[in-house]
Amino acid sequence: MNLTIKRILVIILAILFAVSLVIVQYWEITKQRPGATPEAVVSAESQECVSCHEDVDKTPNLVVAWRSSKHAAQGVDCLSCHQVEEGDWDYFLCPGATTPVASHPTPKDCAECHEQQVNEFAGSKHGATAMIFMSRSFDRNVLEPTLTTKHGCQECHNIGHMWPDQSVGECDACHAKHTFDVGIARNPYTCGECHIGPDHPHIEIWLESKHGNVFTSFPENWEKLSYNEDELEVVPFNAPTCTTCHMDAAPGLPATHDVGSRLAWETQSPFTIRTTEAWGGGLSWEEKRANMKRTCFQCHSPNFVERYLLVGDLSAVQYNEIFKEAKRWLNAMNEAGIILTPGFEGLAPFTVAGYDEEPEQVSYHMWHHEGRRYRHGALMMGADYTQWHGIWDLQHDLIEIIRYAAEAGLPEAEAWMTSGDPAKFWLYPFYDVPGSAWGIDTIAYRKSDEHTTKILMNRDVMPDYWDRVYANVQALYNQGVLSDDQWDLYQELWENRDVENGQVFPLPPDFQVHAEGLAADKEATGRQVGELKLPYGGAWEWATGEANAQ
Amino acid sequence: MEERGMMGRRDFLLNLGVIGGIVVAAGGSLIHALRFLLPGMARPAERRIRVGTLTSLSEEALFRTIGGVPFVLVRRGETVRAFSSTCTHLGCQVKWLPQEEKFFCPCHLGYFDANGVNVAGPPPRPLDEYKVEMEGNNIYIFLPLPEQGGIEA
Amino acid sequence: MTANERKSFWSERLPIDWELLQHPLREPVPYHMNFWWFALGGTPLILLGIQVATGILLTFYYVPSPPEAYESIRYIQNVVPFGWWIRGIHHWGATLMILTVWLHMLRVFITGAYRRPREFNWLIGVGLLFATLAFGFTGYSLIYNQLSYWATTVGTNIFKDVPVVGPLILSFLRGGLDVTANTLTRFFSVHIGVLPTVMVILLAVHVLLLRVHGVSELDPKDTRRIVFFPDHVLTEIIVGFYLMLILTSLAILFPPPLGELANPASTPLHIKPEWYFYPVYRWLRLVPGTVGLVGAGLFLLVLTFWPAADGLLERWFPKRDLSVVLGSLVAVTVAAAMVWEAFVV
Repeated sequence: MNLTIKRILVIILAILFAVSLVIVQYWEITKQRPGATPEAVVSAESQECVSCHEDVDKTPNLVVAWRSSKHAAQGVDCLSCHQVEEGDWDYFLCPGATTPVASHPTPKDCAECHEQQVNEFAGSKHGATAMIFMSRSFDRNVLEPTLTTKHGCQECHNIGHMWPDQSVGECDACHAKHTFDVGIARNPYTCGECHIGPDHPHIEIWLESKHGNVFTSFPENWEKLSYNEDELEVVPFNAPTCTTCHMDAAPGLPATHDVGSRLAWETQSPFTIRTTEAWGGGLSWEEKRANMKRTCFQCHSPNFVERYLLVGDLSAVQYNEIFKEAKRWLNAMNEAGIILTPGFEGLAPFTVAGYDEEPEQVSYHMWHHEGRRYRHGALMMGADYTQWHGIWDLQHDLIEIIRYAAEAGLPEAEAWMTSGDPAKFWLYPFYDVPGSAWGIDTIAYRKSDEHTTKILMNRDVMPDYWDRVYANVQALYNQGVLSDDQWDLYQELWENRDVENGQVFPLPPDFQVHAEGLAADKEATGRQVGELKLPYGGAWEWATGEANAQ
Repeated sequence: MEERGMMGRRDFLLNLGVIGGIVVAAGGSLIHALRFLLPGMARPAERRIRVGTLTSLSEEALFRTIGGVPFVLVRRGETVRAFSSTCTHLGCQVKWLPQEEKFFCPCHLGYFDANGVNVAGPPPRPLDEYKVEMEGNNIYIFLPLPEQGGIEA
Repeated sequence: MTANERKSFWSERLPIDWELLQHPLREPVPYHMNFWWFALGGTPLILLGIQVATGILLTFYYVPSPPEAYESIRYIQNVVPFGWWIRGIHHWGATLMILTVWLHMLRVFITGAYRRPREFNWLIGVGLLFATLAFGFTGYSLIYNQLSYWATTVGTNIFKDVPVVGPLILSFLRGGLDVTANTLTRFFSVHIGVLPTVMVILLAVHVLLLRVHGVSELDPKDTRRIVFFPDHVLTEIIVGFYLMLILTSLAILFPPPLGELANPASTPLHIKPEWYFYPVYRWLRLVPGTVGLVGAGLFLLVLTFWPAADGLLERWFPKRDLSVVLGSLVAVTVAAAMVWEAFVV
């Protein structure tokens, strides 16, 4: 190859390269930019809405929110959801607009694309929340003016709104419009809009649980909430939110909008029951429990999960015996003519005639507030809600009912009130499990089985405590409330109760130190409080004594 | 002699072609590389936004921010003008002095009149003006989209 | 100021003998250098230049920290003007560089150009090969996508099996026991600081030795010569243009993939290194850990000191040119392993 050819070749190649640079320029101008900030795609028919609503006076943030949504990036715009036909119940023509819109899209509109989610939701307990408005034996109408329910109970129960187009639900209750960000739907504070407060403090239970503590300890977890389930096998954070266990996908478990499809217990009702196949997609409670456990297994060993749930399950049914006892006293009072409320017999927790008597209100609190707090706390790691806001309040209200009966002259109640036996606080049958989910019980000061019983019962009775407990749990199992596996586990723990209940071992030296400390505190209290005599009393003492004397 | 002259001219032209080709190629690549280094030069297009109605707009200046772009609307009779409220001196936000009917920049005491013209102080040029369109009573302005710099991580 | 005065002005301030400097340009080189496949060494050199230029440009936007690293590359690819072009050239430039280094090496091997007195330059050439491979490995680790993360994990884990110092090497490579942000920053530092420095030094020596030895003769009877400048320089310019055209076409037609963000919790089902590591990957998958490592080490050792091994072969079998046979065999085997890994498994 001689020089001339080489030079000609260079020139040709230079020209070609220059052409390629122009092609690069063209490519740069026309390139698709996947992953860049998605440009909202507005169809011609929705353009009218968008250009007007971007006006500073016409809810511009509505458009801003929509622009940031996945909907916007994928061309789902105003009329995709707000489409309307003449005669529709929510037909609406914006002032100054030419295109009519549906003022309130319903789940039917969402179902155009998200049919499975809408159907799952409609069949779920969330979908059934409007039912409460239809109940003839409805409990609170008696207490509350309907006005107050509008910004009250309806705000939450509208999640199961029923629409003229026959669809059920209110999707934006969780998928806040107009971003519809799944991260908001998964945010525990979204569930906490309703699942909060005295009757079902679920967000508080979550916050006080290890789950909530760990989750909120890592700020980056909040940013991960928008994760795409199709791309992940396990949840991308180190502790669950509400939806992680109740709705989101887990290995071998698809995501669901039926919040009941993983629930083995009905624990919001006056009495705890295993969920029936009418709820949760026709699954048996065992199948629903198996679903729930798949979410647990992302982080927990089966051993821990089974033990935790066994204790939780027995706690949940233990409540039934407490409330049955309350009902027994109420019924006894009814029979004795102390309270006379029709329809309040047997196990019936509601009364059409209303909560005009104190024991009726107390009993309502027992199941609707404290009973739920106790049950939900026990199943979801909310120790304080199981304890002080739960069993303590339940016991307290049971005593309130009996005290009312005693004051009204019911002989059995009078006898109970005047009894000095500490065992009187356990009026009802009981369950128990040797050991706990966290391993073997190590009550250091346990000296013998008998001693444990003494601690539990406040007195030296019931040497056959564990035999009685066993028989009670067996009766529960025979009734189908425990699964075969749970009964097997229970028997195993029961047989091994000497170990599960903790070894008997000498007290550590610290125990003596603590005992001395407590003795010192007692002595200090006597000195600092008991022996202190102030020279002057209060104004009342002065008014009733000194002043008169002068 | 003549043949060598021919050869010489051909050589010269070829060499010119080679050098020219290399310069064009290097220059072209360099231009692309420079654009690579200047992402902010890619000003996104303006967008047309309705900002209100003539009847609802007072005689006063109305300050607004849409999508991170601050601007001010000034009405004089039936005409509405839109200015960037960013001072042309060093980028502070100007204020409206109703008594004097002037814009005032607190940073270096620059003044602009109601037409956005720099009348006193250090500002080198009038306030940037945005195009306004009236459709009946409606006021539309053409506002640049805010720039997005860097990754959103 | 006359021309003469100007000249003296500059020659006074820059007392350089331009005539002497031009001397190397006039160096006569063998006629076969007119043919690209005999002048392959210049190609990776041009590519190195392209890599340096595009690489420096990429650092203007690259953030060497997880997970922003991935995000910044996405930004380069999708948002920055011509970012896709610069990154595409850098990506495909790396691929072509490794390919042409191997081809250059193969040519040197087949034509016996490593033989006396050029043994040292072979050694330095092998060093350049390692540096190039290290460039590739550290380069695609920087993307912080799934391939990056797991390739880094697996690639560094290989050294775990080195006797005695394995854990130390592993910890040195990763900046800790695991692949973390430390690993990313040190790979970045190695990729843009250490390796370029090493490479430039080795290249300088490589080219210097080449020039003092002169280009090796293919056929001692062929006495035809061409001049380095402009003849050979023009050849390289042509090669350079070809390369840019190929790279630009590849950047447009086959934009380098971005993959998914690295997820230390989940290894993708199909995970493979870049194609140029396929042979060693295939090998390591065929045999147990230590054997694989020792085998690969042995191969590299023989490769590095091939001139000495070749000397031994010549002494033992003076009549046969075993090196060509052996070299061809190894080349075919390596290529076969690559194809096997790429298409069969």
